[in-house]
Amino acid sequence: MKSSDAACVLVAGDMFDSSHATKATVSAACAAIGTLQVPVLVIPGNHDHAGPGSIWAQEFFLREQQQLAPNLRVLLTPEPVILETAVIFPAPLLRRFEPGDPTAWIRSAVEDPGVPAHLPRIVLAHGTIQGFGSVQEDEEGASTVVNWIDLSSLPAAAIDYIALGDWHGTKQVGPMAWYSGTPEIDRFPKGEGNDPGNVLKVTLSRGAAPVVEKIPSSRFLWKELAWRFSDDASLDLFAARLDETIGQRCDEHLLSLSLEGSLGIEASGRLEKTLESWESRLVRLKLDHRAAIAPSKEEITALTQRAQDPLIAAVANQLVSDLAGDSEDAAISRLALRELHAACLA
Amino acid sequence: MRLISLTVRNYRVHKDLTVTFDPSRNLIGGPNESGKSTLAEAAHRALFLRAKTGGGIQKEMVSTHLGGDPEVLLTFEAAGVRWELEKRFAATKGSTRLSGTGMATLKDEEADTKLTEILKTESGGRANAGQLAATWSHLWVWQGSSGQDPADHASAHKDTLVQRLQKDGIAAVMQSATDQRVGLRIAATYDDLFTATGKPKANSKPELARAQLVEAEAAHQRTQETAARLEQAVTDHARAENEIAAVDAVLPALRVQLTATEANLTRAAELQRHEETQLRAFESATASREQLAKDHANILGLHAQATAARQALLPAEEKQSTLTDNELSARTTSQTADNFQRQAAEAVRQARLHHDLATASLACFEKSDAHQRLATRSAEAETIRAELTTVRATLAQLPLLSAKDLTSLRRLERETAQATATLEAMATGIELLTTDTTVTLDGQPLTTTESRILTDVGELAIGSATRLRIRPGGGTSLSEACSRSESAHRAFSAALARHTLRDLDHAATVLEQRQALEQQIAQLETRCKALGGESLATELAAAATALDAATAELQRRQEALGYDPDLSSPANLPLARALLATTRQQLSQAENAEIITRRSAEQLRSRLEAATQALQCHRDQLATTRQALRDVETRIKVLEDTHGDATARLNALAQAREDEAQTNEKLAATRLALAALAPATLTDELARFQRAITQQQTRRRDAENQRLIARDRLTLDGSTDPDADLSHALARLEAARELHTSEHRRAKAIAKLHLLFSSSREAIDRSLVQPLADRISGYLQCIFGPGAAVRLNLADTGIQGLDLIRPGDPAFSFATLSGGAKEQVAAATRLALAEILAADHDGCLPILFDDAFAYTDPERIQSLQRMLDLAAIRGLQIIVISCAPCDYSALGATEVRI
Repeated sequence: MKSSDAACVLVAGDMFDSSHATKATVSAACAAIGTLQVPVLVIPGNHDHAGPGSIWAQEFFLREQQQLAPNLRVLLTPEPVILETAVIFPAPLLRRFEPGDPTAWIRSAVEDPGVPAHLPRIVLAHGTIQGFGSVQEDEEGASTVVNWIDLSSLPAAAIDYIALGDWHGTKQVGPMAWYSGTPEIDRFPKGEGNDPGNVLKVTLSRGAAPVVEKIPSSRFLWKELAWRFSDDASLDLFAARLDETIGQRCDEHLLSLSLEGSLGIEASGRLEKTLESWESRLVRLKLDHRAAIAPSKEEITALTQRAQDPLIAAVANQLVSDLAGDSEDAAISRLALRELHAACLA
Repeated sequence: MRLISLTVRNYRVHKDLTVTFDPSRNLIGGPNESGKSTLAEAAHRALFLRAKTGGGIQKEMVSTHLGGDPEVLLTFEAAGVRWELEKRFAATKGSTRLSGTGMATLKDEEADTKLTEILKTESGGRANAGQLAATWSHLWVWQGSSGQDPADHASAHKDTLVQRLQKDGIAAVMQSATDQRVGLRIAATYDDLFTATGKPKANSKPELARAQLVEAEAAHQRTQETAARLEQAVTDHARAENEIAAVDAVLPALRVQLTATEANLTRAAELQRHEETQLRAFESATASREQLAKDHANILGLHAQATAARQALLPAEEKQSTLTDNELSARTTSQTADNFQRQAAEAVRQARLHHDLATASLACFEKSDAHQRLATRSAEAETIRAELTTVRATLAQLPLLSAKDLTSLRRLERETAQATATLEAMATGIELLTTDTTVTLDGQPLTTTESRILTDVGELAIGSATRLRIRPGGGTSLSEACSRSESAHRAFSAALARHTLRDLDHAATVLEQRQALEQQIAQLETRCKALGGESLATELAAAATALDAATAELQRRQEALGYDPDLSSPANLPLARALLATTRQQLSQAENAEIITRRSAEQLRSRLEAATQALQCHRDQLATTRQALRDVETRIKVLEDTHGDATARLNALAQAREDEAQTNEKLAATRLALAALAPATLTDELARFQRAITQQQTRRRDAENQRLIARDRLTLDGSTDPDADLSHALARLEAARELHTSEHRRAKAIAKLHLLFSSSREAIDRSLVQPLADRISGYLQCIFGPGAAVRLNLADTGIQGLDLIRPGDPAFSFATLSGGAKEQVAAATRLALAEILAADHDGCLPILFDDAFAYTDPERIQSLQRMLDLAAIRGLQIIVISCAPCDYSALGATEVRI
């Protein structure tokens, strides 16, 4: 913030994830905002909409705002806000699902002669720009598009920048229209080109094209890794890849790990231990563990061909005969074989 | 190991006895109490009991009649060496000596240790009393224990057996130490997870995971419900807002409609008031017109009535005059007939008076006759009664005596005569023929030739010296006869005296006289009764009274007719009867005439009554008609006084009609205006609009309340964030579910492993003990024939029971076998065990049967010897002890007799 020298900060909705954020969250947010030395203008989004019981009307929030964040201004009315450096046209969501276009009022409002002509004009809105992006069924069961911002209906010449919220990734959606995305990543990224975790530094002047700079701002790194085990040797490769992906900054990483393929009994055991370590090191390990235990020939031989231990060999042989297939029984047999293996080694 | 010889000294009954054993087959025979079992015991104790053993067990061995400590010397062959073992059982002084061929002699402790080594048993030669019974119990079959379940022995020696069988390469492989360790580890893990009944154990990891899952599910459910409530509140709020908006949209229009309806209602009310007034005026005009018309019509009608009445009066009056004439004529006729009737009645009365007089006169004559007849009879009866009185007086003077009394007197007289005769027959006659001395009888001197009769005891004195007692009849009969005679005399005299009779003849005369008199009396009484007896006087009196009454009646009737009695009465009865007939005829004629006149008079009277009634009826009708006419005339007058004459009435009527038409016109106009307003629907309309407005207001109020409630619900204090709580709960639920799945899967894996270990172990055990079973079967086939077999049942702890299987029969467990079969199966098992175990003992072990086949029948004993022989052929040393050695003659054993 300090390096950007910004005149003000705009938040295009969903500052809180919930309309019922706890006091701790409210206090933390207000304290953080209070540290910024510039006005912070916020509109309610669909997550923190200004409907009945909203956070914005909560007595505790109002007190904390007053005490900790006097620079915070919540825009709850669709009317122009004239600042020293710009005119803001807010499109607050007064309910979670606003039927129609919350920016519709702006189409004529920009023509108001009371709006200073020299100041850059910024539309601050929250919603989808894809006509069918957010469909909601009303009480009669008819589908209506809600929170739909019709960019094409906004008079481009009368506006200098459209600051949009709702999408979590940073994305330019028009010559002067941007979704800034969430400044802190809050989920594992989905799809190609999804780029969350940024703030946009926008430089504006009336009638000129906006200058937009993307600044990464997320403290936590959300990574994804999919791995398929082809043989037991691939376990080492996997470990190396994990080290490479995360490096030393384990406490800043969240990892979505998807495992497939199969490993021998011993290698499975090692994998379990490796996963156990990573689970405790990382902020979060989201594991989709579909890697099966497939005893290697050597392991099967070692358990079934035991001339000196006929009992173990007999049991192992019966388990091996049950291994085939994806059934629950087969899975249990594999697990039993692993337990037998462990018991033999212990 | 093989026994060679046994010597016992000072041991129970044995002073010094040596038995030498055959290497294969031995039979020790002897009667009961000869010490056969003692030899078996001595050999066993030499091998296994500690020499220094004291107490009861030692004392038992000491002979009661021989001195010295019990000693046993056993020579045997083991591990290729011939051993001599000598044991002296003397409590603390006991000693053991063991020497092998070409070896130094070992003593006591050393000897025992060596013995342990040779015999390969745990206790060796130093077992204590407690261990003794179990040692070599599979080889030493003590008396009475031959039927015990041999499975225990097999179980006890299972490991040795298996090792032995495995060494021979016969059995399958046996589980290793690793097998056991791993099996135990799996079992321990299983026990951590499951209870003995296979249920998940509380506090085990899967159960904890399950509990966590349940908890997480509940928490998730709770947070979900909280979130759903919030969601519901949002929906409620939106719905309330919509509702309020909807109400606000319709309410103003409803209010306008309500106001318009109220104005119309006011107007309608005013018109209704007008309508009522006009209606009353119209009704009043109509009523007035109707009344006038009615009165006019009424008066005209009355005039018509009066005219009609007057017309009707004329013929009625004519008819009344005719009816009056008729009535008068009927009255005259009737009075004439009445006079005739009265005359006829008087004639009847006179005729009846004369008739009654004649009747009375006849009655008077008849009563007088009757009275005369009765008076004659009465006089005759009086004469008879006087005669009767005289005869009765004569009878009364005779003594009272009946024929029965006379008979009684005769009987008494006979009895008296008989009693006297009896007495006289009994009396003794004494007659003094001659004497020279004084002879007295009862103090009265008896003179010569004097004869006396003695009827009672009498004393006869002859001289002064001789006195004789005379007893007539002997005994008491004399006195009894005297007594009877006296009483008969007394009875007879008393009877005569009672009847005041002199004697029996007198009595007969009296009775005759009495009977004649009584007969006479009876005849007189009969005659008196025939004349009427007692009632005659009454009849006479009654006839006199009747006569008086008839006379009085006649007199009264004559006086009534005014006749002179003396002149008018008939002279006698026939004349009276003739007179009565005449008067009766006259009466009858007069009565007939009277009946005819009376009927005629009655008919005429009826006719008169009918005429009178017709006349009266007509008179009444006429009077009524006249009164009605007068009433009508009065009413006409009154009405015309009130309503005027015809012209005046018609004018008034025309005026009334005009008034009526005018008021009706006004009323119709008002009604038309009112109908245009539809007042009936107006009230409903008003109610409808009011209701609609109230409903809408209620709806709005409800919606406002709902909005308030929803808003209140949506306003949280910030202590919780239901959305965040829900996502956390969901995350925890997923984690719990994952943990639960993996823990349960692991538990299932452990359970599967455990099950596999158990089942596999059993399979292995079974393959291990099968050779033992085969050997036992081999021995049993000697007895039960080909096809017989045993099956050994396995349990975790070893062999648990065995079953005997014979072709065509179901399997029998050992416990269910007969005593004999038990002995045989147990022996086969011991032999098989011994055969296998013998491999560790140079291929031979002694096996001793002490009277072990007590329940086995003679036929089986023969088959049994085949089995024992087979064991001997296979290398075992068989020692059979029996009190009936001849049973085992077919064994071909070396026999020792004690």
